[in-house]
Amino acid sequence: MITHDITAQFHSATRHVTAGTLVKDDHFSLFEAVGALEIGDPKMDSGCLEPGESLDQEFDVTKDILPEELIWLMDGLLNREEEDFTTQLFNRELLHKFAGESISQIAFEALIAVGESQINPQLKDAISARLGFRHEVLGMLMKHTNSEAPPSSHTTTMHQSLDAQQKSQPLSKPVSEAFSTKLQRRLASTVPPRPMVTVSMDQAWNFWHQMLDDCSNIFSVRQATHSQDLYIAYQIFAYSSPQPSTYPRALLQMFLTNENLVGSRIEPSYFLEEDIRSLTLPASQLLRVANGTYGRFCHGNQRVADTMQEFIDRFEHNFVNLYRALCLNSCRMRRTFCHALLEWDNLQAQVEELDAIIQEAVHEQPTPYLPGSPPTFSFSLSSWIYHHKLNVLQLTIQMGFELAIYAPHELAGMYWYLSSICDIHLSHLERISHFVTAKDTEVKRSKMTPAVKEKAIKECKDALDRLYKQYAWIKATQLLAGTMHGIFVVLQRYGVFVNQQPLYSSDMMRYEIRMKPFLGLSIPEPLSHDDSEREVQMQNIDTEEILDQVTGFSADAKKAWEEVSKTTWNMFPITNDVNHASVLTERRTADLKDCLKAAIAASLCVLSLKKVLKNDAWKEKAQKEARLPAPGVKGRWHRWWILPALPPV
Amino acid sequence: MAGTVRMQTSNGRLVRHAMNDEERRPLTPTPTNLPASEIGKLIQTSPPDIAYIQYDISLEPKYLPQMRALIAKDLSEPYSIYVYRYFLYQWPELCFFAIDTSTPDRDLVAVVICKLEKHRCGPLRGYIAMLATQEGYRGKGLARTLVSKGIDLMIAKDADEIALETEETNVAAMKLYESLGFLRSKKLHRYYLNGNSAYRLLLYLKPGVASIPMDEYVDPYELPPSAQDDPMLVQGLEDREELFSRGIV
Repeated sequence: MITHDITAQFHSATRHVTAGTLVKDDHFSLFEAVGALEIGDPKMDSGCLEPGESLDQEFDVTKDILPEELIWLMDGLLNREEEDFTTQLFNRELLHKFAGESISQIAFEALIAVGESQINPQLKDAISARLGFRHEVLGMLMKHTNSEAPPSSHTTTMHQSLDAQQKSQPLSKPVSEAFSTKLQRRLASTVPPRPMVTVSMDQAWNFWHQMLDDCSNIFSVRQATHSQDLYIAYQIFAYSSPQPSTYPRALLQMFLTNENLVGSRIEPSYFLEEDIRSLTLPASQLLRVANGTYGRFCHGNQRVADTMQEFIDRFEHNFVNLYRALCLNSCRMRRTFCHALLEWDNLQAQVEELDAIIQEAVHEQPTPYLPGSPPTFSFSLSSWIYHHKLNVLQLTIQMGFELAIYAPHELAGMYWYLSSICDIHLSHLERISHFVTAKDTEVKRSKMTPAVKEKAIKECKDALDRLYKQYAWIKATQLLAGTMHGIFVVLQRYGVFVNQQPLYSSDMMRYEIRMKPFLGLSIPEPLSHDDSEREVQMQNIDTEEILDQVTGFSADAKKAWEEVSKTTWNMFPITNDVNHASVLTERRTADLKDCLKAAIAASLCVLSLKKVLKNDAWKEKAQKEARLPAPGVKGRWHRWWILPALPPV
Repeated sequence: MAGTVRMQTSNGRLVRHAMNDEERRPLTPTPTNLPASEIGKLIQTSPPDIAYIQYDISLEPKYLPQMRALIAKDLSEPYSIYVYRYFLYQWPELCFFAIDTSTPDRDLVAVVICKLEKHRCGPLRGYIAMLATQEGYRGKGLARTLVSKGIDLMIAKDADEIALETEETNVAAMKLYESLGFLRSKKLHRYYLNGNSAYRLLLYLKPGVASIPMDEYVDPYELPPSAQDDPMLVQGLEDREELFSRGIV
């Protein structure tokens, strides 16, 4: 190696550079700047020590400790924040070399040793409960690796053990030097030290109870035997409150791809076809039956077979990704949906071309859909995409309410947008129903063998049932969204939740920010700001009339949510291989109950708003006192439905 | 249809109608004779003994240590001198601070630090990186004044939009920015080292900013090796700024 001493050159080059000057090339970005550390600053330099401080662990693991201290240490270890922490391990392996079985064996032996020891019986019980719990948790995790659900008795034992541990917690004696940031500082010498997060023991016990329940309940999604049912099952978990923590959500995600089978049941391509068959293409020869190739079933037409193959290849992953998105934390879920919308929009345009190829190849006869309208084709594949896209669009808007993204003055507009998307979706479902009904009629008239015919009729019925369930849910959403729209418009007319003309930008530009995720969609085409304002504000309708209309909406909304509550979440039989068969149903029922409560609260709110129509004193009071209850706060009936807390009338 | 910014589609592609220069001009909601780049004057305060100063590189020896001390006090996240110089050397004019002229050393009591550059080859984005007011000087409109000075200068420099992040628990900061016209555009899960989530706030300064084409995502592996270890940096790296943000008042 040849070296040059550049000290002198460096000195001469920097002689005229004043303090504060940054000499950098174009590739030195904020990333590099943030990546730099200052040696000697304790906030940044992991190796920086206080006078007399050593970087070595002060806690000696080989030293004897008191049983009370052991209890404290064991509780402290349970009290760890759970997050996606793989990147925080700094490539340090966590006991990968040891098989779960051998650790389990050690825990078991320790349990026996404690049992035989001469310590105080109370302490002995406390330590045994802690060891036993670890043994059980390990057993649960090992079962999960094989996608096996632990028996429910297992979960019950663990809950009892947690209660026992919590009770004996006061026996513990702190060993505060045992937990420090030192190990982390040693490992992470190139990044700033991370502050140690402290979680209260009460929070930790609750967290474990919750996680045990989620871990066992999550297996119930595998009872779903159909793509649509599985989607609802995933939704039920995604929108549980509190949202399941990272580990159970990771388990849920694993079910989608484990051994390349969706839900341990079906290959992704068949999973996709199953979904299409049960919505837009029942009893169709375009789809395979099982292990088929498209050449055999697509009317023997190679071009159609190739087209179908192309479609399936293009879509199977996008489709599974919709489920995967439901396993993300809610912030990321919403952003993933925003990206998925544009992707599906793009694909929809492409798939319309595939639909056209199929129309031509199978000599599809167009039929008039609406009375008096020109004949139209079914566009089965792109119709299927549009349905899912609208579904994602609806969830994206709704999650904005959940995550408190919208400002109070935007609520009228966003509820209007939600109801208008539901409107579009309802029409789309009607259009699909029209073609499925036509297929049903065709099947019933056709000459097939009885077995084939029976199966075809069943497929049509399944699709119509699914369409009905979807329709009922979206109709209920649309009616309640319409009610909420009315409530917030009237409140704004009363001077409540009004945007006080901010100094910068304009309402039009703020509308653009809000609609940014949707502006790129070709359908449904977003409205211009002016058109949207006209629809949202209803300037030409007086307040009394709006309130009358909304009274009707809210009554219908209540009925519609009751109607949804009467339906089951699943369309197809669920397998009963798990004991907790009713978990999904329970959670869904609770969620629908909250929606119904929101609908009732909305209708009461409308009544109040009617009473104060001419009450200026109340309006003045409300302008100061009206609040929007946050999730979890009294008066917030549901994450997606924000009823305002108003002064009494 | 000239005169509107209505979106229309043809062949699935978004088409923007041409606008004349008059329409491109940022809209100002308040009836005033002030040019758009001086709108902030309407809300700026001048409490007794407070003077506002625009940063200049020659002020580094005296004021940079004070800025760092003030900002570090309110932040768990540590910033090296390079982070400060990254902003202050490239955009010194976009840093404003307030001093107390009644103290012997005319101490710094509030500061805002910003930058302005193209965002993913798309819109010219202003970014409010750090904002802090010393305790005891809060409630006098210092932060509001400093921020509006920053925004006004960004408007004068033809910025398309302004972005920032703020901790979800920082109600005061969100109130300040929302009262200026910012909207929340997304929530960032567990964005800060202390485990708190953040909101991204946005302000558009011209119509049509949402449709300015941008580069696709930033590859997280473009990060320096030191940052690649850091989940807070790699996680959710949809925008460059997401690894960096302050919004303290």
